[in-house]
Amino acid sequence: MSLLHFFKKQLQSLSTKHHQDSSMQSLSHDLTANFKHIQSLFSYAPDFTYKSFMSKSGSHCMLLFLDNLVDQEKLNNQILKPLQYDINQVNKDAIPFDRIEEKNKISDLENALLTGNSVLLEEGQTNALIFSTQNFPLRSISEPKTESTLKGSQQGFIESIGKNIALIRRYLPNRQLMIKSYSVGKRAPTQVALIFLHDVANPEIIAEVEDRIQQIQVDSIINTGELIEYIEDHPSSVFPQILQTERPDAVASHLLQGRFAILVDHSPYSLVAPMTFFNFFSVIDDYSNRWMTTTFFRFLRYWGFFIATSLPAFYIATLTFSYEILPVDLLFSIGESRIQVPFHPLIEALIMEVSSVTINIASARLTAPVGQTVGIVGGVILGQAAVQAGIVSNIMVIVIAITTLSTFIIPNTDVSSSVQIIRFPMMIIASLFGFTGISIGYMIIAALIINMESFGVSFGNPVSPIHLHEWKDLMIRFPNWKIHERPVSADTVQAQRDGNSRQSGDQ
Amino acid sequence: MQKYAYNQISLMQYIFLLYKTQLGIGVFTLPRIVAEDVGHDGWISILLGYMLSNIVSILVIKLMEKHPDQTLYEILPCFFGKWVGNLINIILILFTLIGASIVIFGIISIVQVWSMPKSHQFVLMLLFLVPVYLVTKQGVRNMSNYAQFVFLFTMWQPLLIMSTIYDAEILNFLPIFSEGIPHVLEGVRGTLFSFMGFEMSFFLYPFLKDKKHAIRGVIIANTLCLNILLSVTLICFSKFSQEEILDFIWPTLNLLKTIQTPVLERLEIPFLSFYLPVVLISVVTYLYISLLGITTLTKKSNHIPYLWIVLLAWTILSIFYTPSINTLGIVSDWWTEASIYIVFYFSVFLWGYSLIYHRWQKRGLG
Repeated sequence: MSLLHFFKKQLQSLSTKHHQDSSMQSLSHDLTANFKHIQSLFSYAPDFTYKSFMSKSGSHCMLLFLDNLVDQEKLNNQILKPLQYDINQVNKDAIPFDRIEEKNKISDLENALLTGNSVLLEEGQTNALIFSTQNFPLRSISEPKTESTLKGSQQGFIESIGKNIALIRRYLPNRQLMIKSYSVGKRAPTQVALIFLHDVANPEIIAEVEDRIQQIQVDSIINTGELIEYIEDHPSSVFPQILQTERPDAVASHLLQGRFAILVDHSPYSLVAPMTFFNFFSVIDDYSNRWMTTTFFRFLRYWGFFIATSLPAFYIATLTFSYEILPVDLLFSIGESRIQVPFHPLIEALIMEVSSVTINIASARLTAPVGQTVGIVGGVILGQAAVQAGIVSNIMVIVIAITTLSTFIIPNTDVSSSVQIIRFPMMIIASLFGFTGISIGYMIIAALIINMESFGVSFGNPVSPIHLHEWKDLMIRFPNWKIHERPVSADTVQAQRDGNSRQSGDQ
Repeated sequence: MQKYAYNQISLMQYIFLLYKTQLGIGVFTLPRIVAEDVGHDGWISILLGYMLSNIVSILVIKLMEKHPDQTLYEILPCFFGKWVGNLINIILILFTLIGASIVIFGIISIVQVWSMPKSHQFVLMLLFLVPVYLVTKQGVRNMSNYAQFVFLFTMWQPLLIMSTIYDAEILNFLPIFSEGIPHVLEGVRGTLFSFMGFEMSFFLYPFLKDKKHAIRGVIIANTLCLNILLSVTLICFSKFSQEEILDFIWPTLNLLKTIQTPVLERLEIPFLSFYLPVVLISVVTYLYISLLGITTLTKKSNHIPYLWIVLLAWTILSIFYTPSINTLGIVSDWWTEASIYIVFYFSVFLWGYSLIYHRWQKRGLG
């Protein structure tokens, strides 16, 4: 047994050693040997392409690259043409190309090729030149799909981290905008960038995030959503603690408030933290609408949250336990609509609620024309037929419809999905304990929110603990020139946001 | 000795935690109790009870100012030596624990009577213990955050009570001092149960960040509490005759029963349900303070094992023993009696003792 183990270990160390050897090797003077070596690393890569040519100075050169990852035009016009016809020496300074590196480790060259660079080998040289010729298949910048806006900018992030950083920088051309870059993932390293305003964001929070990002040990990060699970404080909570947005203007606004953002290469979403529960109820459009309108909208959103979590629960509680709180006339009209329905209100609500959530989830993945059909068949026809068949009551259909609509008034999709989940336990607890159950249900939700901390900031800020001056941007949005401080919930080192823009004289 | 620094609370958190601890099931019964003890002059007794609580609160804070980083549990062994000090500590632990138990069993019985007559006490106990556990396990800061949330969540309730003020009868209050001032003074005793909770500053003071304003904090909390108690009593007295109030066990709920709107009637049922958070805050605070005492005595740092023991004990007790309303009344009378000795007499004594103790120590050092 132990002998076998020993051999296995030997074998393992041998194979890793061999692997290490082949990739840690440096280039030799022999061009053909170098090329053979690299080609052996890419033996099953049909897109591995090379061009062998004589430079004007007369030395034998080889240009290696992965097809379709590089810009062919740059390759031809800025590398091959000058080398073959214009310049007499092959070195970094002579070639008219903006980004050239010199490397001699085979492993470096391998990585460079895999990320879209081209490699130039020359006879008799132990250094290879690496040209940044990346040209990934990318879509152009388009308007954000999930966060459409009426008045804001129509640019959304795309799948390239470089372009995304440029989009943010356009809003914040400031020296203090710091971008720290990490590579996460062992097998397929993904570039992750942590962005913050150096003189505003709290250095302790930044250090904590940095630590969490560096601790990640994973094959690869495909999307920002995956990254969230590795760095958030409470992965088992229903509520999102980190905002995902695809709007550069939203990110810029949050950065100015003292939060930090994380961009992941290949993902059109950016992460923003530390967020509090109440931050999820405001959107960037709020600041460009008139403040009274925004205030009204915000009240509606909080009301929507309340209705979406508990309207079916209230209905069930009233019908099962406390029908005496309804005036007799109202009670009669509800009774009349329920007269044919054979089920307990909870069953009735569950039937409707499950179908409504099903339609909702189904239509999110369908193309627009099919989605409409699903909406009409699922919502209108099914609802009407269910009432006529006497399976559910009219009033229950109204209750569920209002609940569903209220779910969508919550601007953040993560929060509205968690509300959809919370609704079910609320209905069950209401059917067991009536209003007492609903009250306890809310207490549990509140306790869970209050017990949470996101990057050292209480998730219940600014309502519990109360920070009164932050209420200027809670339900009532004060005019922008009245909000002088950055939010406490962002825990910034620089609290003042602006000066006095409107002197009292000119009103 | 900054061992409470990690869990510091701001003045606002301190005020709301005290205020919400004070408000408990006392609000429901107070109008009847003062009507029984004093009659229609009862509201004056409440005012006097308020003043008394304020005086004692100030003494408590003055005492605590000399020991800013210690709770009462740590001060007592210093004052009286290990044995006597710890004996008093055990009495305090029992006092707070019984306080918490009275409140939770009391609210269960009220809920049973008013909205859930068919549910067994045990089931309701299990239900209520979930939020109690969630809040208590996290310590003082989250408890006070929670108190703030409850304050905001229940802000509509005082307004609802105020809205019952239509057709009030001023003549109900006349003549003032009809049965003499001594009679009014005697009634103060009964009102103290409703103000109970300010003595938590004995234990919460070390957690307070801004210790300069502690006295202001306690007085604000007392005043907020007085505001509710006095307005409830005044409205009850102005709407019901004295004979009527004596018939009600919980006059405040009967008061709400009179509201009728086009959409909702019998508002006392939702009111009672949404008053639960307020009551459970009292449970949580008393419970936590007694657990704090136990951890101090046993020199442990984690209170959660003890929390589980208490919750388990309550659950088991609720299966086998259902206290009647009368029993609860008698027990809470005893508790009030004990609290008068422990909170009022003892704090005054302690304050005097501390003056002598510090003088004596100074002399000893000199």
